[in-house]
Amino acid sequence: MRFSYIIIALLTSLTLSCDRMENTEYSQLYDEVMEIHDDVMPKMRDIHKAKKQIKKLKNTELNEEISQQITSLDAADEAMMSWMANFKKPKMENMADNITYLKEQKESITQVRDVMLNTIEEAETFIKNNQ
Amino acid sequence: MIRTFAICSIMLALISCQQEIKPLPYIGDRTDIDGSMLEHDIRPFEFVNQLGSTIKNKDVDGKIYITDFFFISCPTICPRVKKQMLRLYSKVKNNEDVILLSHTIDPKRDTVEAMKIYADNLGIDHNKWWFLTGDKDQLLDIADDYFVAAYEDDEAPGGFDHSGKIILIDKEGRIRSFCDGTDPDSVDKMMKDIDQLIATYE
Repeated sequence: MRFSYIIIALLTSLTLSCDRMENTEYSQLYDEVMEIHDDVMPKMRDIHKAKKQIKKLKNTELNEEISQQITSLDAADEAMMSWMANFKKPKMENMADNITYLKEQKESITQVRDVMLNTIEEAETFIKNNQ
Repeated sequence: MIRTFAICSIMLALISCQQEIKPLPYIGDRTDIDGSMLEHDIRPFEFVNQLGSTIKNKDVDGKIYITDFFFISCPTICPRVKKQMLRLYSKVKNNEDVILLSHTIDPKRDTVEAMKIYADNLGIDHNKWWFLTGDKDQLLDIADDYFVAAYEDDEAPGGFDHSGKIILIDKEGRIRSFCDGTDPDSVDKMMKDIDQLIATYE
């Protein structure tokens, strides 16, 4: 009798600590996603700035490249805007599903960040070389 | 000793009185043209509000307005700023000289219809608080106009749309105050500035 009590107590504490671990992982992942987002969000301003500078370039021989650069900058902006529109703090019943969702979102916001940073860098180099 | 103390007290009182009546400063670039100093200006704009009406500079002429930038799907800062904008709305909702303008930076998703629903959910008067959408480049340009000024003495990182700044514009379209819309204390200070600005027109 006493033995079964011990087993129940052990199982309960194991389940509780698993829950706690999942909760910690959930909060950590959510913070990581937000941190990546918050770090790169101010760069949206650089996209706008680069776009304005590119539009001012007068060389007609560059017209095609100019419009390509603008398309890329718009796409980088849209990548972030649509990520934000689709991202929701997950509140599913099953914690494992929440964690899977956050892992996917972390990957997705990392991709958005890379697209943004590369596009800005390319645009800034293009401006520097053609001013 | 007593006399010195009395003189100092009177001087202090005078200084603090002077500060009480001192008008709000003008914020922003001052361009030196023909030796005269110009205040920072807001360029001409044309946006559409949540009722589908076109809103231009002339529609805010002669109004004090409180303005910010937002987008409906904003995951972090906007909800906090929205709460503070609602506080400011409650404060000025019965003063017909003051309006609120919130510009979206996501016009693709924040359409007139989406903003109408958003405003309805806030339970605000549609003629008192306009949510504006339009051409994205124009929205970002106007953000630069407002925030270039606000950033002048502010090295805080963060883009215009994530700064959570709220700006106060006078009846002549000049920037008179700004605050951090994520910080209730900063917004408290803005409330005093609004009173001070209203008082200068009385």
